[in-house]
Amino acid sequence: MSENTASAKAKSKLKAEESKTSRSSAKQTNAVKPSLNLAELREVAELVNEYGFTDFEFENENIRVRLSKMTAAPIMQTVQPMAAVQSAPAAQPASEAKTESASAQASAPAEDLYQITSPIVGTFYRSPSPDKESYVKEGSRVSPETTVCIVEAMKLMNEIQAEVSGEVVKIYVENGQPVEFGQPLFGIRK
Amino acid sequence: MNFTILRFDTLESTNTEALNQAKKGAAEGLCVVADRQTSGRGRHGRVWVSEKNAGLYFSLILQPQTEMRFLPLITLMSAVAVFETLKNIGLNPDIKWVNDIHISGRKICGILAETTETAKGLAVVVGIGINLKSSNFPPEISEIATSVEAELGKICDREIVLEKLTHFLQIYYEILTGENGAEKIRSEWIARSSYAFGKSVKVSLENETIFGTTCGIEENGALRVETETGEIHVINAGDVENLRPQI
Repeated sequence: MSENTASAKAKSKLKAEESKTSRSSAKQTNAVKPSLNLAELREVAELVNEYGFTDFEFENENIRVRLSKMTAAPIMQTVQPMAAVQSAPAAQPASEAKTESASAQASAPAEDLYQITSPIVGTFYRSPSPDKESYVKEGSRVSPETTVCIVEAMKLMNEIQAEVSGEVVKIYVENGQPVEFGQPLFGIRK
Repeated sequence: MNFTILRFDTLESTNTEALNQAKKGAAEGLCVVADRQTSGRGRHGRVWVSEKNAGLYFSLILQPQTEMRFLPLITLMSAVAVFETLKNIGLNPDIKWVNDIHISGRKICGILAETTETAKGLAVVVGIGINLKSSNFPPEISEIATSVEAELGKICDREIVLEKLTHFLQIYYEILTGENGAEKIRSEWIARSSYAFGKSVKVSLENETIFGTTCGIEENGALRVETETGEIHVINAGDVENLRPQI
C-alpha cells in the first residue's frame, strides 16, 4: 500500500522553468543530461532505505526521480521518526494502530504536522456535494494525489490534493466555512 | 489557443469527461460536447436538466498561467463570453453574480468550473450549459428557467451557438491572460451585470443569510454586499437572489 508510507521530498528548483522531462522513472535517468547516474541513484536508494523513508522525490531542471517502497502500515509506524514516542506496537493490526496513534496525537500538540493550506480565498467543503461522503476523515490515509477537500471561489471548485503521504490527524476548518489564502486546512502526520 | 471539439451522444457529465481528458494529458482548448447528459450537474451536485438536443452541454479545458488569486475570474470571463454569444443571436441577457446568465430574470445558462491537477500542472474545466429549448423543462424549473427558443421565438441551431461561444471564449480568455487581464475582465463583467452595483439581494450562505445592496466586486470577482447597518460582506460563494424581481 503505497499510501501507507512516510515521505521525504527533496526538490531542487534551480530554474523556475519546469523540466519537460515529465515524471522520469529510474530507467529513464540516463536519457537527457541526467544529474544522477545509476550508481548515484543506487546510493540514494540505500540512504532512503537506511533512514526508513518509503518515498523519495528529487527534482531539478533535468530530472525528476521518485523512489517508492511498498511496506505494511505497522512497520512504517515503528520507523516513522515523528510518531516514534507514541506509536503503537508493531505487532498491532493496522486498524488498531491507526486509532491508537490518532488519540495519542490529541495529547501531543507539539507534534510537527505537515499542514495542507488553502491556495486561495474561498469556502471550504469536505465533500463534492452535500449528499456525498467526505473526501477524508481524521485517521484517513492519504497519498500525494488524494483529494482532501474543495475550496470554492466564484463557482470555481478548486480540488485540493494532499501533496504528501500520511495520515489525517487534524481537520482545522468546519464544512462550509470561509477560508483565507494560506490558512491551514488539515494536519497530516507524514 | 486552438479549439478541438470532442463530440458524444450521451455522457454522464461533460465536465467529468473533460476532467478525465485533462488528467490524460489533453491540451488546452479541448472542448467536450454532448447531445445529452445523464448526470449534468451544477453547484453542490445540483442537477442540470440535460435532455437530448435541448441544450448546449459544453466543457472546455484551460491551463491558465494566471496568478492563483485571479483564477476565479475564469468563471466571470466565461459569463462575459456567454453574454456576448446570446447578445449576438439577438437576445438581451444579464449576468447574475457570479456567472448565471438570465433573461428577464429567468436563467438561461449556468456555468460551473472545476480544477484538477495534471502532469502538466493545474487544469481548469469550465462547464457551460445553455438552454436551447424549453419543451423538456420539468415543472419545478419552468417558472425560473428560460431558453433561446422561448426568448427568440424560434429554434437556434446548436452549431451556431457553439461556434459563437468558442469565438467569444477565445477573445475574452486572451484578454484575461493578457496584460492587466484581471482588471479588464472585472470591467467587462461589471459593464454587463445589473448585479454589480445597487441591487437589493438576499445571499444564502452555508450557515447564514444576508440581506443588503450590492456595491461592486473585489479583485478576484467576489461580490461586495452592504447591509442596512453599513457593514460590507464579501461573498465568494453562495446563492444570490434579487429581492425585487425585474420584469
